[in-house]
Amino acid sequence: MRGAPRAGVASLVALLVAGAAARAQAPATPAPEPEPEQEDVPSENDSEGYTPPSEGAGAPSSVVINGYIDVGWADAQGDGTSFAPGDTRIPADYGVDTFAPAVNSRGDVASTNSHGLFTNGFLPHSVGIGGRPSFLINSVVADLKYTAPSAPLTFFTRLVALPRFATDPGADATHVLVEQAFGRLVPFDSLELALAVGKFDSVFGIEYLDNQANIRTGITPSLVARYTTGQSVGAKLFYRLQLAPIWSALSINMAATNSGTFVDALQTPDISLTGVPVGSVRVGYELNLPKVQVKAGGSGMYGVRNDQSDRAARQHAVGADLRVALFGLYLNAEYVRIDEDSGGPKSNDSGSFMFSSEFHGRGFYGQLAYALAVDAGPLHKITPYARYEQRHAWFEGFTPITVARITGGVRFDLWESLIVKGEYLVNQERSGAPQVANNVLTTSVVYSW
Amino acid sequence: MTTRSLTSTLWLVVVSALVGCGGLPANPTRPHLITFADLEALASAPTPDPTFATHARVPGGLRLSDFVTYDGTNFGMPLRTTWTEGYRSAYRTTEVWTGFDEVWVQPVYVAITGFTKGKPDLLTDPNNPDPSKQAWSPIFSVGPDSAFYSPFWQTIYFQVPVGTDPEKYKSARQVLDAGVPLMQGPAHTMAIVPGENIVPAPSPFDVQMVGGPTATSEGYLDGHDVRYLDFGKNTFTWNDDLDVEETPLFMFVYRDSNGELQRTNTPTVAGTGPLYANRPVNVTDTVPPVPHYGAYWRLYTVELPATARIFAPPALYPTENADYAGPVGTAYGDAITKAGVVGTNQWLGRVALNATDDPTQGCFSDNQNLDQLGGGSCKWLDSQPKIEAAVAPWAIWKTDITVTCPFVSYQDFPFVVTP
Repeated sequence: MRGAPRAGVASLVALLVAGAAARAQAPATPAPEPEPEQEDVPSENDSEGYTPPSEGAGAPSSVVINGYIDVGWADAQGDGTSFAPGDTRIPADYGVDTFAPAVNSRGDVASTNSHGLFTNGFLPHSVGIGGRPSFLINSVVADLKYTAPSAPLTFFTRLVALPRFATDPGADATHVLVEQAFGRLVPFDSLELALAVGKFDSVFGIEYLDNQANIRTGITPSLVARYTTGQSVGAKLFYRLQLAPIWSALSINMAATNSGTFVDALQTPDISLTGVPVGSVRVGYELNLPKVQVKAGGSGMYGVRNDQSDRAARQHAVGADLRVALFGLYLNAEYVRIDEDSGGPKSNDSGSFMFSSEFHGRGFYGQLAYALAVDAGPLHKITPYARYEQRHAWFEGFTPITVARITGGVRFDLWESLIVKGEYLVNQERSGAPQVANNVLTTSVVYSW
Repeated sequence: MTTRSLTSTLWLVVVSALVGCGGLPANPTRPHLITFADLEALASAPTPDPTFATHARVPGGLRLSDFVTYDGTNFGMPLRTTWTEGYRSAYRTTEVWTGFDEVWVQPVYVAITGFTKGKPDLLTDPNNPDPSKQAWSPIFSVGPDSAFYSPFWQTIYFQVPVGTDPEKYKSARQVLDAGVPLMQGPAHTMAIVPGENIVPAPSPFDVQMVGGPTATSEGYLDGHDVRYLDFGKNTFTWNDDLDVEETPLFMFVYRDSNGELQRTNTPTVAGTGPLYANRPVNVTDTVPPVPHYGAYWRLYTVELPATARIFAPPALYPTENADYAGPVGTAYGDAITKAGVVGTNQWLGRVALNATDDPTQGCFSDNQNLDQLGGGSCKWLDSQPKIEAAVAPWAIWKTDITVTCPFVSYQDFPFVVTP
């Protein structure tokens, strides 16, 4: 339940102590190779998401521990929600976009306080700051990777500590999350083929690749990220075929998981409520010329919705994505179409509800970023960026809403381990939803270790 | 392991996972809202099912003909009798919910130009050449295609200048975006219906005066015109969670020769509050009384005691006598037959506890016995307290069905709808 601590502060402390101790116990460990996410903006990420690079036998160390801390400051307009004063329609979360006032890379919003109005489980996680500016520890992330020295196996876990203060109704309490935990088998040296089993990133689209604050160009996820970027438990298969003569590659990434690609606030990834897994797949093409990179893909997701238990209630999504990189300019764009049948009693991170409504959503975003290399002491890169996005969605019989968002920001990369970002989100209710003051100014300082 | 065999194995794993496993929970019962549009669809089907809501703890389900009729052109809204504190009243039904723990009150926005002696001056357009546009028009916020729709609205008045074009505001968003003053108004029961071809059925009895809507009116939803039936104000209440408070509506059932429960198809008994709460009826102290309850009901079945008999003399009411099922009275005194329909229709379909199968004995032996409120000897099951006193608690069953059944006639007086 939202607001109920999943693990206490003691767990958080234990996690951090354990992480530090583990690091201290590896004195002979050379500096780890730079992870893909720490390279460029955007990262080289046309793969199965954030997974550690393969390291076979003979590697310097079989255990690598790293992570990051994301410290933010955010100020949301109004009361930090998208609920309009005077709008007493219920469910309150059906007539507005509750995900709009995001404040961090996890998509947490400033508030989901509906002031007592009934909601029906279509809510993001909330940091509970409302309309009051506040500093935040957005996340404390510890990654542990173990590479078996004598087998083509890699094991990876990512623990995320989320310090919160749950006095605002609907706000999360402090908790620790096992965001990823999987084993990966790469059976052939000669093939880019990998099978992963456990809890891992989505395979749908491209935005899941930027889930982590130390990877994402900007701060907040897009308005369609809720449908495509969730981690889930299951099995995943990745294969890439290099077409060297034409500087190209084809890839397929497919998974069968408990919850498909929805974020955990909407559908639990941890167990299957239906007994039937959700399939998802992305097929990609990439062109890697010396100065230009083009990556395009198409994605699909199909299965039983995992926020209820009726197997007849299906969900399906399709998407298309494009990334272009040339001369320091990066374009990311994605379109998503999602449809869900109505189902039985609903159960997700927000609670239990009488039923799950039929739902439809369409949305897209396009982001342009320019990475300007500089040589000014520790500052080595400045990346201004802008994103435009739109989302049109409706619950069965409820007023369809169209919202748009313009995001502008800048990112500074200092040394190899510090990122400073700031951005402003202009949220617009184009139709259906009442207009409300819910713009957000947010910043993020990410220390990688 | 070869590349091919490994790939095949991996595909097998994925495909097996996608196919899923057997023996796990499937297709649990879903809550279901049946609007008047749905009832119309059921009635106008080529071969309509005679019943619906068959798995909601009402034996045999609900009879469609009790809720809607269709003559090929128009849809009729049957007038359904119920007993209120021993008196005859009547309602119509516009929505049926199965499996809902609660339904919610939703806001409806109504434009006003001010108040006169405390009463809102509704924005109208009397000079509009289209007569349907001349009256006030509510702006609904949730449509009947949503499971969260209900005909129970909390009026939210918003004030606009005199002379404002009534069509300027046609959606909740327009009202909220305008930033105009909002004022809470009364509860209002208005059922959004598909079209104008709805004909409320009259009473067959002259003494039963019927009010309620006689035709549909026009309102707005999300910028579009919609039709609705206005059942008036202040006939329901809600709690802090905006849940509409339900009142029990009792349906009589009986055990057939196989021991199975069956519907009696007789009029219902309208309760006044939760079971055994002895809540007084919520009506005005005027004459006639005006009910301030009764728009939203939870159906309860009541298994009739062995001595129960349904009043329906076949000589006077052959249709009803044939339609009612179970312990229909078989013996009636001559005085009852002589009293005719005029003298007995107030008791048609009532259940007596002290009738017999001897025409000279018991409740049905003389028409002087019938008026229990006037001192007659009949012991009728025609109010919640009487049911609770005469029927064992185990014989009263809560069903999964709730209904919109606003009174249109109360104690045979019409329920007058005012704007």
